[in-house]
Amino acid sequence: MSPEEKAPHNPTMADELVAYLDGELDPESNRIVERRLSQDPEYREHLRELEQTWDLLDHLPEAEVDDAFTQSTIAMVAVSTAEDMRDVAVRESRMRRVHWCAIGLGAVLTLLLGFATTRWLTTAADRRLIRDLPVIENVDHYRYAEDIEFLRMLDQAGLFADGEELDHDF
Amino acid sequence: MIDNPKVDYQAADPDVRLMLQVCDGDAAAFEELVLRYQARLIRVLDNMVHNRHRAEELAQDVFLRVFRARSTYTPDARFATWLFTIAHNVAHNALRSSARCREVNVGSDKKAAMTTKPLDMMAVAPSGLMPVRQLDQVEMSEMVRGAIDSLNERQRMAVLLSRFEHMSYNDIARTMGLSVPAVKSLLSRARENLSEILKPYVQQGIRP
Repeated sequence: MSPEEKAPHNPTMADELVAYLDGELDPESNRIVERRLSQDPEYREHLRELEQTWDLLDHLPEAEVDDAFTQSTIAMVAVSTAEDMRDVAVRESRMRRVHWCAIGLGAVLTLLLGFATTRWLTTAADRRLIRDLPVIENVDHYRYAEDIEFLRMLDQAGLFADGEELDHDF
Repeated sequence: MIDNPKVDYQAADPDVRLMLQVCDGDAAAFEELVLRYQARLIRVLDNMVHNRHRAEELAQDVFLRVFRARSTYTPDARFATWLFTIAHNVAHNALRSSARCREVNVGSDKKAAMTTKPLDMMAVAPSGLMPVRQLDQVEMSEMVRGAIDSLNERQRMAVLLSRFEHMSYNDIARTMGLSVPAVKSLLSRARENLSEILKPYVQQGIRP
């Protein structure tokens, strides 16, 4: 049987009496309990029993604590704090290393990205130059043309038969 | 959880001020708190775990947690309420782990179980079996301790906080993470049980 089941429990009566003894009742409930106490001997007897058993708890001994306990507690906290600080220092050192590694990695990636971009841009310009090479080679001739439509007519007439197609962007 | 935002705990509770000094790195303030609370803490924990040595270890654990919590501490309760909330959690964890150990060792405890008479059985034993005499202090404290031990964990903690820490229902509720009506009911049942167990002594002066 669990302790909660041991004693017969009348919630209203017991709760109110215990709360009355503990000074936890509101004034109105307090008055009701006191009125009943003045009229009901059984209720009064129950209150007396609760009070007496409660007072018996004073026989539980107080804990005596010597200086050694205090000192060992302080020392334990100090040691633990030192360990915590050491752990924090190790963690911070590790974080710093990770931080610098991340910076280094970022720098390398930036360099690689820059290199790739530059290379791509350079290659693109070269590709354009190669594509436009026939036009560049004949630019002196083309200069005599009045406008682009005239050049297109020449192109359609097959005057650029060696593969030198007229660039639409020309 | 019960909060009372209107109370200025820093002004009302000197121990809260000490804890705030601990937060500022004052080691002497921490030592003062240890001195003020160690005996109270050990008394409660000893009655919870029934082992003085274990109670001291747990009390040190509580103080360590208090010190470690200094960076996040906010004075939103009496210091004692905050401290015993930690103690309640520590005691609860200790009891839970020792209960697990007991489950493993249950076979080896058979002999002890056969020779020990539970207090609730003692309470209803015929009074004629016991000589009527005044109990000495040691016997008295053993009898009361037996009665306290017969309560369940929550009833025991509520009784200890109420009787020895003079906590209000509000503070007990906060410490144990319960509602005030639940504490009222818990204490009522606990005191009814204690009354029932200790009745033979109260009524006839004999040991239950």
